[in-house]
Amino acid sequence: MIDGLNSLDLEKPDRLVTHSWLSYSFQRHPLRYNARFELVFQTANQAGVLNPITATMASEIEGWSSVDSTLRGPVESRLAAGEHLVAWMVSDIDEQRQYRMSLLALSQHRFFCSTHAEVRDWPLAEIDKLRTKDRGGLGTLELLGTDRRLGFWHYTIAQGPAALVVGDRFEDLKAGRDARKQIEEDDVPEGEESESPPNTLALFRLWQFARPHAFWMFIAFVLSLAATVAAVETAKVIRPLTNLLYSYQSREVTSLSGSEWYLGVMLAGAAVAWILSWGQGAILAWVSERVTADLRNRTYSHLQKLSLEYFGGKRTGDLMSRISSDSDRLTQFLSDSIVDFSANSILLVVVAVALFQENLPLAFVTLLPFPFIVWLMYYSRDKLQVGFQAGSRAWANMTSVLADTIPGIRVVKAFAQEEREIERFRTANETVVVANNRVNSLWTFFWPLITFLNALGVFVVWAYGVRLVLHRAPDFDVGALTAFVVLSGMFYSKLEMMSRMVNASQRAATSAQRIFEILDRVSNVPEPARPVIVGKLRGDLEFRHVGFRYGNRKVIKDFSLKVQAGEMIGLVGHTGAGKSTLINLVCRFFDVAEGAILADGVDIRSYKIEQYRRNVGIVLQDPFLFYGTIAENIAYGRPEATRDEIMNAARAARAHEFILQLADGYDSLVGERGQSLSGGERQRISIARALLIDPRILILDEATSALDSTTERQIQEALQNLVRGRTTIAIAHRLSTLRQANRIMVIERGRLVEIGTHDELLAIDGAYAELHRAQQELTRDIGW
Amino acid sequence: MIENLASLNFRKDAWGQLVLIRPDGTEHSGVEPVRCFPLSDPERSIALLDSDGKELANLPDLSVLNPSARAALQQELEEREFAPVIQRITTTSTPNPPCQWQVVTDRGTTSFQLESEDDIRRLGTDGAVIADSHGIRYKIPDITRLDGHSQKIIRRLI
Ligand SMILES: Nc1ncnc2c1ncn2[C@@H]1O[C@H](COP(=O)(O)OP(=O)(O)O)[C@@H](O)[C@H]1O
Ligand SMILES: [Mg+2]
Repeated sequence: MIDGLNSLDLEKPDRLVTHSWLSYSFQRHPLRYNARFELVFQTANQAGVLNPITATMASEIEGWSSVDSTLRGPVESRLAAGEHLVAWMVSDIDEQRQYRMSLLALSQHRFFCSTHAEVRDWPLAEIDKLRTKDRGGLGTLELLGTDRRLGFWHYTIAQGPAALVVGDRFEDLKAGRDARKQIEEDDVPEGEESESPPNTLALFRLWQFARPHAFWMFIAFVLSLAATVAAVETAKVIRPLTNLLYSYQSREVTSLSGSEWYLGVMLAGAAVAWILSWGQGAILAWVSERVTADLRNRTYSHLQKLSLEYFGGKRTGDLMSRISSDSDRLTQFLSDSIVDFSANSILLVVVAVALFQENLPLAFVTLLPFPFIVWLMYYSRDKLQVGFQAGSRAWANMTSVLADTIPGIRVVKAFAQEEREIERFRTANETVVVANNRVNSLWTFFWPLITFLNALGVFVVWAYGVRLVLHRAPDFDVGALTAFVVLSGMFYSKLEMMSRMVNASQRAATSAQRIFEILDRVSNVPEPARPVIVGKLRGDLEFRHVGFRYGNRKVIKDFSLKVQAGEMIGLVGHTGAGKSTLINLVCRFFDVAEGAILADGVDIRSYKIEQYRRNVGIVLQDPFLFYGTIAENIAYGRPEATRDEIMNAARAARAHEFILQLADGYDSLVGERGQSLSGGERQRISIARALLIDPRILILDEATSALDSTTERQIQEALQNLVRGRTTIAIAHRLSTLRQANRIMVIERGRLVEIGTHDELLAIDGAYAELHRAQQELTRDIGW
Repeated sequence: MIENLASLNFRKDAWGQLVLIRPDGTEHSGVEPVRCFPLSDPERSIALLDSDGKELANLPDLSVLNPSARAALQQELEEREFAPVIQRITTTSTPNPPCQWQVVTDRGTTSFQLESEDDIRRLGTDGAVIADSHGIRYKIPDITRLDGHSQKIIRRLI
């Protein structure tokens, strides 16, 4: 019996409960499951001729072969001829809530569960419902019979989409629906591929920003190389000069002729080194300023493109300190330290070569402490990095306190909590001190130790040189010793500078890593890979089984609705019902976790975000104005708007008159976040702002909640003209606001519970009627 | 709200749902116990919600219940909680987030994606709670009791 779909014996079809959609938001890692579950209903044979389908059919479900064969095998061997699997999932947590795998699979006749111990199965006829629920990240699939629960399995949310498909296919089988159509509907537009972050050290990744300036960096490098060679070559006159002076003093020679030449070489060498390092310093300072400015720009523009979800979990102060003070630290490192580092490491090599040329055994002795110092630097590096991370974090924490309390200063004052905020800042500041002290104490220990070892290096030269002179070693004289001392002094002083680099580079690496953390974040609202070009939308909207969750809290559940272009929909429901969330989805501030929202019949994820948002005007619950003039704020979405257009929008929003009352009219500054305006005034400006872009879809999220009834009525009259021909979704608590709405929908806990005109809803006497009654009573009571 | 907490009783129905039996014998099925302060004070203030999310009772702690009811509720709470306790951090893909952690927990070994250091929350002086990219929470009751390697990994992030 293959075409079992139509002949499935449904014992109690009336008991079928509509499938509850799981809303899994894979906000951070959008999992796309559509491709994985290829259905096999095409094998259902209408002519009733048996198709030779074998158990190997199972392997045709994508991903099936990746399942552990000890789980998969027993299920395959149980399949009857003609039976094939339509969906499967892995339950990765067992009944005792331990991590252990079992496999759940659905064929057209049975539901299987395969653990490592056994395989069980239930005929579909015995199963009334497959229910999925989830709580705190733990999902549960329940197999419900008509009179009891047959079984349940847990899974982590990563398995959620698969669980959803299993539930879906079960519904399809029960309803005898053709599931192939369903698959097409589920097709999710593919998001743009984002390259995975390279897994290298943060400092090396700075190279991608430095590459455009590679030429200048190369020039700087050549200059520093030349300066180094000049310094070393100059040191070569030390030996003959010293010997000359020595001979003159011991009266072996009577004239100092030639010493002018040596002195001249020294002076020239110093001058050349000066000019060269000047050029190199200037170039690198410019390059490093450029590189970090580019890095800052890239970080900020990346930040702007990240979805709201990212900002929800981030503290403003932390982000600010990453972009400002961390990048500043990088500039310092790039301009000062990297210069020193490249120059010094070249110098070390050149000096070492010079030392070896002079005297082989002495050179070996001179470099004796060198490996030890390098090891010490390496060792301290690791310790320092941890310290610097703590330091950066403490700093960000302190900035966060500022970013939190300064905008909230009115609340602080209103509740007289100044002292507490001072204390909070002091504590944060103290953590900075503690973190820095830790680094400092580490560093103040390592640094003198390294200095000591460096001095030891020079000391060894003296000691060994004295021994050589004492034993009258051939080819060695006081001049050679002096030259050696100067060279080794040069070597160790550079090494000392380099060890200071350890500190700077670790600090910079920490900062670089903090910046790259932003850059590596992928937006959860990805741009489509193959965008559908759109100019002006018509304004049809359709919600198809939309589900959404914040973290692991379900907020929107199985929401379906069709809105025609030009229709005005009123949206009512208790606070927290998910109204704002729903319109966030329409605006693509977040992406739906399942189902789809279609505008003009196309999934909104297929449009380029920017083009799509041009069509959507939104007035938010808490209107945000930017620092600037009123005119600038109204024209925010369309900076090229003319003054007349701005005024017309303001008139429509009933803002014109109050704006004219202000001292500077449309040129008045509104202050940060518009704090110099009242709540109602801000709302009216934000309505004007939304109207100015002439959107096809207008969204009003309690846009008139802060207005008095008269002003609201005026705006409504104005909106009546403006709303015409636009798709409007208006959220309101005052039901009177929604008088013009074509249809009103009532949302309760993320579900659409009622929809219809005002009269229809009153007639069915449900949730809406109740709200209506409550408001009427209130109006009567207080004469509102 | 129910007053006489000591005379409350619970049972499980055939559907696996928790049923609350009031002193007068009326039943509420699909009752959910919820800890009000799951992180800071999990043992106190446990609310009982009906299937609509309305609060039926709030228990100051489990000891107010009679022994059989307490056992039933304890069992139910355990069944609905999933917060593995990290015993050892085996490896991390990179020292800094975003990274993949391989951990040994009281519920077996697993791995998860840690998105950002902000997802690690301190609890008291020595405890920590880590939320992975899917919102599953992992607990570390006392960092100082972890082995040195694990401590090092976590300390650099908090
Ligand atoms: N950014 C967010 N993160 C987590 N939860 C949220 C977020 N925004 C809203 N919620 C929760 O989602 C639910 C619906 O919120 P919302 O859509 O704003 O309700 P309303 O219907 O009042 O506009 C609320 O319970 C709220 O607590
Ligand atoms: Mg809202």
